[in-house]
Amino acid sequence: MLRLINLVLAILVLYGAVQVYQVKEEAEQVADQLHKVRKNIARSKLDISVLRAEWAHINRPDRIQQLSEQNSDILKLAPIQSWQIGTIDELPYPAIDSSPSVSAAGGLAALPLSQTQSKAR
Amino acid sequence: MMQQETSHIHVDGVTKTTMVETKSRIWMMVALFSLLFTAIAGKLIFLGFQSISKNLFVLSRHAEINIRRPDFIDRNGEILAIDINTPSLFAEPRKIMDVEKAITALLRVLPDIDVNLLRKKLSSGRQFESIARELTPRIQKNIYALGLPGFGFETETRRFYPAGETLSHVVGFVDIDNHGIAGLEKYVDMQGLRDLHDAGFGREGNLEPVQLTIDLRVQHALRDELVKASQKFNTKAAFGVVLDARTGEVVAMSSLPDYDPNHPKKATRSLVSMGTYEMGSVFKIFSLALGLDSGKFNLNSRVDAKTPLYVGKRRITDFHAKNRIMTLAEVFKFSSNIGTARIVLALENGSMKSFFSRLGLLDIVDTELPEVAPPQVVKNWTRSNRVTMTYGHSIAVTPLQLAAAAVPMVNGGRYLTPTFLPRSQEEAKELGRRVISPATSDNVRYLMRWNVEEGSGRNAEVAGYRVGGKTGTAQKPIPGGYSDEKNLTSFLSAFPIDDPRYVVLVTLDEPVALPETHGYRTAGYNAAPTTANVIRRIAPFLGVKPRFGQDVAAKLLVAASGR
Repeated sequence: MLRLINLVLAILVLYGAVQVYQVKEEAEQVADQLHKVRKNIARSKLDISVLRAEWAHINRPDRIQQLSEQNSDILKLAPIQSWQIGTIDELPYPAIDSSPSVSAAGGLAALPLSQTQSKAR
Repeated sequence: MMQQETSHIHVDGVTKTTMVETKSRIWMMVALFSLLFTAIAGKLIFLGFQSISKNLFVLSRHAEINIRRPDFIDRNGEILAIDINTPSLFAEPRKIMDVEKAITALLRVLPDIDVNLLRKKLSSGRQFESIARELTPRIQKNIYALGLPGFGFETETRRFYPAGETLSHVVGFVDIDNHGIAGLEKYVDMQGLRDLHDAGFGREGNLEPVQLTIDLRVQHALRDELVKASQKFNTKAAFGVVLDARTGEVVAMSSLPDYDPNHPKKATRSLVSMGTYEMGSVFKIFSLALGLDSGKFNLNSRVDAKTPLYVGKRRITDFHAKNRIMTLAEVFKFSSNIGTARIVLALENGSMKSFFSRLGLLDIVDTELPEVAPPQVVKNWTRSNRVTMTYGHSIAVTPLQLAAAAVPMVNGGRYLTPTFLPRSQEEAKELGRRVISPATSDNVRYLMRWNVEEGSGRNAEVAGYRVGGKTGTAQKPIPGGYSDEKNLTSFLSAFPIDDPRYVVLVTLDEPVALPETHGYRTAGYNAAPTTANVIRRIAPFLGVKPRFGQDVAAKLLVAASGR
């Protein structure tokens, strides 16, 4: 009887030991992975902050202006002037002209007309 | 028989004894094994529960130098200051075989390094010596390429300002240990970040970014125009301030000469908030506002400017003398010292002092920026001193302070402390301190607009943006009086003046006369056109819509009389 109990206990202990060892081993592997992932996140965050800093540095208004001035012959950019800003309401209504010569040219005639008007302003 | 009996009993006793002994031995074994098993089980349970992630959070040896600071972003989220990691070079002198060879090699990559100090460090035989901090990735690559034994890199956190000099005096800078020692960097430290660091926190870089009220585009445009103006007029210094008239937020602030906060060794003083100047005729905005707000004067009140005014030993004259009786509005338009002085002299003695005090002109500006200087005001508010103060002498204020005092003049009458941290219009309404009535503010805006339409501020006009303002050309104080050649010229303005959104101040220190300014050094020919250039560029960024074909001054006059 006692021998049986001892045997059962011994087996149980052995089984338990193996199980616990396995679980611990698995957990350690997962923890290692977690550690790696966290390290990667931290490194990526640092990389991102360097990239953001570089992006901000390259995009600083100072440099954009310099580049725009250096390449002005290609880009032909100029500061926006106040008369270039407006709303739809401010646009002149296209003139309806009934004379046959203009209506032959179709709706396109309205375009140069509105251009001259906005220039005049 | 007896023998037998005895023998039997004896045998029986022996057997019994043996049995008892065996039993107790068995139980002892059981107990022993039970104990052993329990111990093993206990140990197993203990092992099972033991923290396995102990090695995850090993503190880095260099934790101390990795102090993190919050990012600074502008009102649109653009980065103004950010932490980046930079390599630092260290040496392990014990492992270095040939010190001289290492020195010659290093000098090729780091030409600025102190050779004697380097030699001392490398031959010290110690385990660890820091050689150079905050290197660029390129230098690191070059040092790796040298293939020197006994050298290595560790990572340090460094503060980087992507916009460079554009924002120097506002953000300030940090020391090599990443502690803020100037500008808003210092302010953030004073607000508790330093304590946090000293207590060992704030190293993991998860701090919320700090949003500033600065608009980087506006800041650049302001600085760029100031740079151009200071080159053109060969100025000693140039200042610019753009304030939100509704909230008191500082949208842009520039002070030339400035510096690159990435190289703080060349740092200059922020004169826009630390330099005090007698600002001149721009003060007439305040003096006439005081006259209008008293109720004793209106725009058409007649003021005698026929003859010079004598106050004590002083003789007050006009730069553009008209020698006639003029209206209050004309006093402003022709910038008459005599007229302004007479208006203020007609008021109660103490009213000017309390008015200037409510405008924040007599105390240090209470803002986040640590670099602010108190104004310099004469102690005695005598008649003579009050007269010179009406046109901005005998009182020296900082340009930032002057711009802040202009806010209530145009926003309906409420003074707002300038701030570099976001403030909503609701907060501004609660904080605002009434200085003048809305009707007075309307009248002052009319005067400022009229000055741009027909007065000395004509060169500040930008078609569509309805600029209003006042010029100020102050003679600079020199030993024994005031200089005739050295001027401080300012243009204090607001736009769009019919519903002011922004206050713009441009101040030039000692501009020279040019052929194209017809030989004049006055503000109308340098500060005013510079203001126009600034407003032309910043108005589209700030969402101010241009409007054309309206007589703004006339409309303001109607609005003012309607109150």
